[in-house]
Amino acid sequence: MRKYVTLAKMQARAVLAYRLNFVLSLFALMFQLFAMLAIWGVMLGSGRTLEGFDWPHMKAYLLVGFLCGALVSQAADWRMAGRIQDGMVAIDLTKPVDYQGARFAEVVGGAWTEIAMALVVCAGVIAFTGPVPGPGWSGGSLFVLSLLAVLPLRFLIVYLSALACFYTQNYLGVHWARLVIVSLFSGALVPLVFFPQWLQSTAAVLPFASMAATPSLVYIGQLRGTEALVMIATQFGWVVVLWLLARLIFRHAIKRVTIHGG
Amino acid sequence: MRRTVRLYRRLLGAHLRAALQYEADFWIMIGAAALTQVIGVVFLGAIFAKIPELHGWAFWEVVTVYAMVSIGEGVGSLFFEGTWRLARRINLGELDYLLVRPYPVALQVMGSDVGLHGAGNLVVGGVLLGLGVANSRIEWSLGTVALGVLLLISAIVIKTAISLGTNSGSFWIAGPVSVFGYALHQVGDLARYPITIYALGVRLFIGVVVPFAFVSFFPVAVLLDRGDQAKLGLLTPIVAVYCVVAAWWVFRRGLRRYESAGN
Amino acid sequence: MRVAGVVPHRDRTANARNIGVLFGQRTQLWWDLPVRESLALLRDLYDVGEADYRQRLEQFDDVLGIGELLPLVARKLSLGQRMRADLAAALLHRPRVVYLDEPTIGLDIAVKDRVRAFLRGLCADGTTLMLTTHDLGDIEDVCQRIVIIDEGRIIFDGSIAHVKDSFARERRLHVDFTAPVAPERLAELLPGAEIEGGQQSFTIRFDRFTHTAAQVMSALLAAGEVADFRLDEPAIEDVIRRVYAGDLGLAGERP
Repeated sequence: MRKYVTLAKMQARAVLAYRLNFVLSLFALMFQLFAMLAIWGVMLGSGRTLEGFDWPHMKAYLLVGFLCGALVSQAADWRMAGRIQDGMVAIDLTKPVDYQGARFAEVVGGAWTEIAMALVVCAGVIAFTGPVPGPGWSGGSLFVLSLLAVLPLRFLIVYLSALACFYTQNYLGVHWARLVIVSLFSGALVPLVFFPQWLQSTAAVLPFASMAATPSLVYIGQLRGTEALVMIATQFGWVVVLWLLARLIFRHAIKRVTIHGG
Repeated sequence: MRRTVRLYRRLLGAHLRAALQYEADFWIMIGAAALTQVIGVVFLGAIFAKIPELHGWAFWEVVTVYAMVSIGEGVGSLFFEGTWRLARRINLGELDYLLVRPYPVALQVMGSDVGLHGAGNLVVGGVLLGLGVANSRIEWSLGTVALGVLLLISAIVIKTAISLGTNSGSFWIAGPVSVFGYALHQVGDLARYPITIYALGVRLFIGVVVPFAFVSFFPVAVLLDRGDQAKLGLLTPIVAVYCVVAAWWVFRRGLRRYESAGN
Repeated sequence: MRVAGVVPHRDRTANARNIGVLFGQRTQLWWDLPVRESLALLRDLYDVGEADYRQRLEQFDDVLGIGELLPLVARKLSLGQRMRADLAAALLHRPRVVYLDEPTIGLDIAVKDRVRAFLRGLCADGTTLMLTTHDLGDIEDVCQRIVIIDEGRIIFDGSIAHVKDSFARERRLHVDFTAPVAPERLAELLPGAEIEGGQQSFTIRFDRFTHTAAQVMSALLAAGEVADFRLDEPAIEDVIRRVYAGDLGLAGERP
């Protein structure tokens, strides 16, 4: 266990050295947020409510979605992918540390900057556009619970896509595909309730909604009580499923590499 | 002039051959780029399912604005991708050989890579543009068509010039990646939507300082005959000329800085 | 300042046509393309005619063996191969002035000889070569004029011969006698020379303008029976080493 804590601490320090990279990777997310804030602001600005969302709550929804999206930044993504592309993974495999666990520890370590920067942006938005409603007591505790599931979930999605580097030279394409699929099915920019039924049904069987939609809906109180608990359980369920899936794929990938000689 | 174009095609062609044999699975990239544009429109569709218009802009009109950005990006990636490698080349001192060849350095840089994913942006953007103008209230005449073509070309020129100008920031800010270029590219995404939704400060920035709004919003406003916005839109070709001159100037200043650094 | 009649910073393109450049540490070949394609691109950039181009390739093949490199992708070339290809690339358009920065760095001796022979041929054809290098073998083999720069200042500018005549006057003869010889005897026979060593082995250091090697040899044969000997030539390296060590001033006089 100590090894993983060390890895986490090392990464927590290392992110400071790569500040610029990280800020850049946040930029894309930020301007997407700004565009959506502007659009929803116009649509809901005059006191209108759509599908149960009024402007203050939509704003809160988008900000929580942004916070979730900021975790496991693109910089972390490229770091993981780059390791495999460079073949450095061979060195990592000689260490007496579980590969997947180690990468997770690093992500946890690096998360503090991501959260800090995301909160700064949120604060800025609130300063410029007015306050957002809080989650209340019960909502708040559920929200924290829901948020806890987001980091490992995001890690696993990014990690799984990074594993694609074992199978293809072109990570950029995989990376973009993942970004756009996640942005659609996580509901971070447009709540899933706005989409046609078939799309909502599809999203319901995919893990992406658990990455942003669930915590956001819990925060603004659209998910309450038992319903919220069920969705949060779904989040953690996905964490377990994807963790195991990732291990399976990793084992297969390593076998393939050693057979074909990397 | 013809020599310049002919040689540019040669340079691009060489990199295209390299890109095709080196970039395994480039179809993934093209597909992902295309998908990104499509999903953006899916978002718009979901939003417009609930409301009829955004600041007086109907769904297909907004799609047209969106499509212009996609097209600009697509052309940029396919034909001028090398611009984004500038930071790296400066970092590694790889401009030295370019400086001693009898061909404009900026063009050598811009033509030094081919971004195949641009095909995805371009195709989807083209389709969206076609659908957008077909479904919008545009009074078509021979004059409008000619104007439309002129505006489209100007918009593409502006986007390319902005890319060159912002990436030239790497001459002053060292590093393996073009900070300035990438950051402003993200800002440019704001111009995918009618800019009236933004605060004045933002509108001034993307309208005047870095004229992304003239890549998409204003040219489309001309075709849709939207009063004052259309009048501003008629300036698009002039803005294009201004951007080219400005970008060229920034690049040359940067190049002089590079040379004097004793490389 | 003019290069081949053109002011460089004022007319970059015209100047570019007259000069060729080689940076030893970097390649100008297109990394992912075969050498042949890189050269073809340069041919087009410099507007070299088709017939002229073919002739150049033949010449390069004769001297540098470039033919075997043409189909190879640049990133797969060894250092020596890459240098040869880069030389061809730099000289394809028959530039009148060529700048070479460390053209033999990292090369093995066989390739070095080949490159130096090629450069000598260029000079013979009338091309002006500006060679920047730390490898003094390059200079001795190729150049007629040498400019020594230390910390941005020119401390010497003259011909190689002049450098040697002025500063590399010392030769050393190492001799082994079959039986011990008295150093005083040698000093007697060779006035003005420095005698080092003792017993049977000595090193005679003499100024080659004061004594010829033949004179020294005769003296040694008169002193005793010579078992073996070895003669060291003055090397530019020694001169440079002493210049940088501060032993030689601008006027080239020993302190």
